Amino acid sequence: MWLWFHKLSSPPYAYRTAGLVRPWLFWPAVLLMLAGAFGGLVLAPEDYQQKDAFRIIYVHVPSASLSLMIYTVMAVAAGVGLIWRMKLAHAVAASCAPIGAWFTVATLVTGSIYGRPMWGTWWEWDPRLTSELILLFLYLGYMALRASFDDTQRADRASAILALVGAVNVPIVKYSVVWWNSLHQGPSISKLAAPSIEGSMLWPLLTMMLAFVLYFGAVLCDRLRGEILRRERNASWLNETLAAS
Amino acid sequence: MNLSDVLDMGEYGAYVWSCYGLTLAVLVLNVWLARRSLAEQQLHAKRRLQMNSETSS
Repeated sequence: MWLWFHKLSSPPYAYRTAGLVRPWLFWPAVLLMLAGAFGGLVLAPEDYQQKDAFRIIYVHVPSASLSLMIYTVMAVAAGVGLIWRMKLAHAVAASCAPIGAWFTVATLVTGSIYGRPMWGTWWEWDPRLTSELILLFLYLGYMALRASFDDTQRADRASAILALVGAVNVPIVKYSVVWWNSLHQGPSISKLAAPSIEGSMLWPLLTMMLAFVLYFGAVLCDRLRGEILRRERNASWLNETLAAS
Repeated sequence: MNLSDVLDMGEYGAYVWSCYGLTLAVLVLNVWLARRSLAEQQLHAKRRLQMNSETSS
């Protein structure tokens, strides 16, 4: 395990591995998204209260869970980079940020469109909505902070601290609907013993969530490869790898 | 359920389809941005290596 971890932390190995792994994540993600969308839009019955508007969950929930998952990956990678001074971990963290920011935007916008017919408002300063908006600001702040340094190592260290401090917001977003009175509905699928959602509605959602995670992996592979190239100056392995591509 | 039911989504067609459209746009955009940044970095790295080999020779 440690040997593998050590091997993966070498830029040439990570660059090649990410290139090889990418299609194995991307194409299953596309297929699962198509299956999940068909299940959610066509096969799942309409909700007894929310009617067909509930079908928005099949894009809103996977985006939202991805926005939190990406931040967690980013903070863990930043922490690993900071503690073990591993450059590749900082590269992973830096690659996560723009993807996470986009999915936070998707979550906020689809949530707002969902809120209009269901709650009668596009926006409310509700704990869940507000903490998700703070998540977007954390991603943007992380990227702005990185961009403000010319020196990559200093950018890595400063942005890693911000990512770690901001990680406190992740459980706040997740449990905001439990801790406070929220307009947003509570968890329905994380209650593993008895999910309060019917099977025919649940499988497209789980399929979509898995598809989004695989998709993130594929996009991260591309971003990471770009980030590795940006950081590697004059390395001899670049000559061989780029000549071959 | 026939096609017009799926398209209408009861009275919620505009809300449901705009959410799916926006999410699809974000999915496509992220792939494109990541591919573009990778292609740019590959080009930069190639140029850098070329310049280095020219100055060293």
